[in-house]
Amino acid sequence: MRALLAAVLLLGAVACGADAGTADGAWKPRGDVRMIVPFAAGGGSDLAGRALAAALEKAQPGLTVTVENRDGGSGAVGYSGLLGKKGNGNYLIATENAILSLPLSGQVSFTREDFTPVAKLAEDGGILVVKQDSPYKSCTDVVNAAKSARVTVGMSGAYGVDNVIFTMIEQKTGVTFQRVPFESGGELVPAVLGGQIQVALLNPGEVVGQLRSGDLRGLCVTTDERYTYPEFSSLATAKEQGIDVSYVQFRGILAAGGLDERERAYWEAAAKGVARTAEFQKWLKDNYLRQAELYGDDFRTYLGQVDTALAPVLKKPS
Amino acid sequence: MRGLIRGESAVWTLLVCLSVAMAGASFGYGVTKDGGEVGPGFLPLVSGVALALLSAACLLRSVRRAAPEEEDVDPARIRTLWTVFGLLLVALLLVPLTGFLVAFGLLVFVVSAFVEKRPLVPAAGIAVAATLVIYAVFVLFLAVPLPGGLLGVGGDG
Amino acid sequence: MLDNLIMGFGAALTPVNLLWCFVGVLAGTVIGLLPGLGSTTGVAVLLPLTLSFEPLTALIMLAGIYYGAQYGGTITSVLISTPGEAASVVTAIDGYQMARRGRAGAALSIAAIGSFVAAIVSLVLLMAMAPPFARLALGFGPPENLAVMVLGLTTIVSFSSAGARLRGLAMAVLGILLATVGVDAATGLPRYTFGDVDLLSGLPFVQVMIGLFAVGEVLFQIRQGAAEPIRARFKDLMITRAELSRSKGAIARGSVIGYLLGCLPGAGSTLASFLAYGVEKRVSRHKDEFGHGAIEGVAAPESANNAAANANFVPTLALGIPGGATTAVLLGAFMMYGIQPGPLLFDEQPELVWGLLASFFIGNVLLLVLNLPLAPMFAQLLRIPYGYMYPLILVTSFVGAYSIDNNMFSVWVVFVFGLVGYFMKKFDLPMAPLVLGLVVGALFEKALVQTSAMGGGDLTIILTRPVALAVFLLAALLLAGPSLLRLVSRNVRHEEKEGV
Repeated sequence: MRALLAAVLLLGAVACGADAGTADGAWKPRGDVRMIVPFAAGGGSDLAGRALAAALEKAQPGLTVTVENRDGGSGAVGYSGLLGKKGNGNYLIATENAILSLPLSGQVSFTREDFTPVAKLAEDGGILVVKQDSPYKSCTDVVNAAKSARVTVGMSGAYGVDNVIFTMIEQKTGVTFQRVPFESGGELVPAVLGGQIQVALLNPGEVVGQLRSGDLRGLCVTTDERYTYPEFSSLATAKEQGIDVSYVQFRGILAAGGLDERERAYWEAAAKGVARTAEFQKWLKDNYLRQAELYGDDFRTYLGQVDTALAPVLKKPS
Repeated sequence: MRGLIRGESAVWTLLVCLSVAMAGASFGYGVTKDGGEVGPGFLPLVSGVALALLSAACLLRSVRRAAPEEEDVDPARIRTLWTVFGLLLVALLLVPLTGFLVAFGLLVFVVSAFVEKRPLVPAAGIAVAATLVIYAVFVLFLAVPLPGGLLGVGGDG
Repeated sequence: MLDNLIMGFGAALTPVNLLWCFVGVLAGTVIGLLPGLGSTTGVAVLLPLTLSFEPLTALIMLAGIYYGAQYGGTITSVLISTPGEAASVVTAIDGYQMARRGRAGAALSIAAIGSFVAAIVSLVLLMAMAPPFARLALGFGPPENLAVMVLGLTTIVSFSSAGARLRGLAMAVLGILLATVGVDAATGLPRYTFGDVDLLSGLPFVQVMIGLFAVGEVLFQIRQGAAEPIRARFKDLMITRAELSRSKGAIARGSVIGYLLGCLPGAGSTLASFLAYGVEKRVSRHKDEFGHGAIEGVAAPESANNAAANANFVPTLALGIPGGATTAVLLGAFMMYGIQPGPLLFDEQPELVWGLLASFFIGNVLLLVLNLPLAPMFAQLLRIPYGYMYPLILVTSFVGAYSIDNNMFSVWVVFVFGLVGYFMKKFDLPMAPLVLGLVVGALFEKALVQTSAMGGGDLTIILTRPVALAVFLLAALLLAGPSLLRLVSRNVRHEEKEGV
């Protein structure tokens, strides 16, 4: 009970101790900052949001960043929640590729232009994995098999990165995969382990345990270059195997739209501090991410480039 | 108790309409996909049709059935019920104005003091105590940003 | 295994770990008491507080929150018919009726005892054979899940009285139909959302439940005016020996059903509690008491959902796969402490795994010690005059709903379904089938779409899956069983008569 009481008092002190700006006119958030995670607790986006929140607190002493999971609609619910906070500098969102694929689907009322790009901080790659007794030894084997037979692949949602990559492979090689829909990467692991689907595409952090134990086998990675982490450095890229596809998932921070210059400057500076914290580096290492920083307008440009590349992939054939 | 039967028939009629409408809309979603796979409209169609049939059967039964045993309901209680329901709606509409805590604190007070005619002082005491406990548990401990309204009372700044 | 267990207890039984285990259980119980806030939210919200702890201490506390919250949800189900999460919906049916008859203390006690026994049984099973069970569970793919969902739906029969089968069935189908609201997972197509972004993720069923059960019940009680404060002598609040012995079988069956379903990733504790209730109603000698406060109707689902909660750790610890929503958050916590979950966890982190398992024993003992004496105390809450009580129930229901996702939409869902719940009670429409349809409907559709996708549109792949076929057969037997039995026995009697 004492610990609970201590926690209550602690949170109370934090809530009351909000300060209002500094003397030199620079902007500072008043009170708690919210980091929205548009996916359920426990997944890759959630881990990213929590790590970035902790790193922000470390980089900006006195700042309190509370993580809030607002999942649903493949991320649409969380982004729509932030849409309602236009002009409020206290709201951030842990962003990734859904901010591009959702608007391309035509089912949501926001686009990337409705938010303020703060920083892209890391990139997450994908590994094509099969069960250890699968006949496929490389991504080329999978594509060749799909030419003459039905190959079932899992997808973690209509707008997931895995669906994008499988579509890219289909468009480059002319094969068709039989997609079996799931709701998260977490559901794909048991499905491929249990032989319900033949191939899945997962982030390295999601399958490193199963790869090390030998239950799953990696076929190729869908990044531009090979991993430098020793666990994955032996895996060839899809390009090396003759499939000209590469696509990564970025992880970063967006703020609410309609912020003024001072608010933008504050968050960019804060994000630059993030990359130097031990929390951030630990998150990179634990989840096998690649550090890849772009801030403010550079991040905006990057989003535009990926958007252009993504449009023909996600466009529904009419 | 003719009213109850008529009410029940209305419920089943409503369900028939709802299910027919939803089943009808399911065709727009695609009952099957290109390869003959189960599509987004499949379950809405099947369950919609099933519900339409079931509710129609229940509707027939409720129309045919003899009046159920007389039920003793005090009209004053029915009035109380709708008063509470109305106050609930008022409290919800007040949230954007006064904030969540104030709106629902007032609800507790008004309901116990005026609807239930409890003594004013304990009613006010309970309302204030409840508001404080909710503030401590939800806003301070669980850091829930309860809407603060125009006054900005409670979590959300 | 014994060596490992001793090592585990050695690791878990430090004063620091004991303290945080206690704090976790207590905090969990408090969080579970709040409508809408279940174990998943509790673990996610309190996770940041534990980041500075040793990994084992942190996990022990989080696990404490997990099963503490499960029990907290039971308390409100029984006392004020407000299930904290989907897994305690079934408990509300007979538990609340027991409370209305002055037996709230007994209901809470049997829930605590049943949960405890189920926890111990499932822990022993978990320790003895988590890896082989986890491997077996992997064989459960979409076709098998489809069969399990159908089996779950057959329990509808148990949730409506004999004369009202049709109404129960209609409510279940309504639940399934309402479950189709929201984005279709396979195509990303929004259905029945009318452009509303909050509806994209479907009707939120915890909020629907709070509306139906809590708000609907309050409105109905106001109409009946019958909700007198329940005055019971303290002695009457204790559980009797007869009640205990009636519950034995229910607890045993509930534990096994819960454990089996809990091992399957995704199927979860809600279905387990529904299934356990259904089975109990079938085998019980007091069939007509069900729905009016049968103690087996509390013991079975409570044992089942607790056993399932523990069994959720089978795939989590043995394979690094989340067994349910809460264990998914716990898996995330593993990563944050720098522990790599996966099939090698038992070998690489024996102290952590066995320490955690040992702490489950300790935590469940703490929970029982804490709650047995508290059960009659909690039951005393019902002495509060209803005029004060129901406004408070309304407020906590709405605040709880809001805090699920910090969204006013949730609050409006509770409001609307409160009205629906009132009318359902007024016209005597059973609620449990509606909730069952809503929960199972979504899982059923997912399994159906996946099965059809696996076969490229051909559902006959089910015929190649013996396990799925067996479960389907079981479901058919459960449905047709009683009538078949009656038919057979009638024939036998007939022949006997002719023989004479």
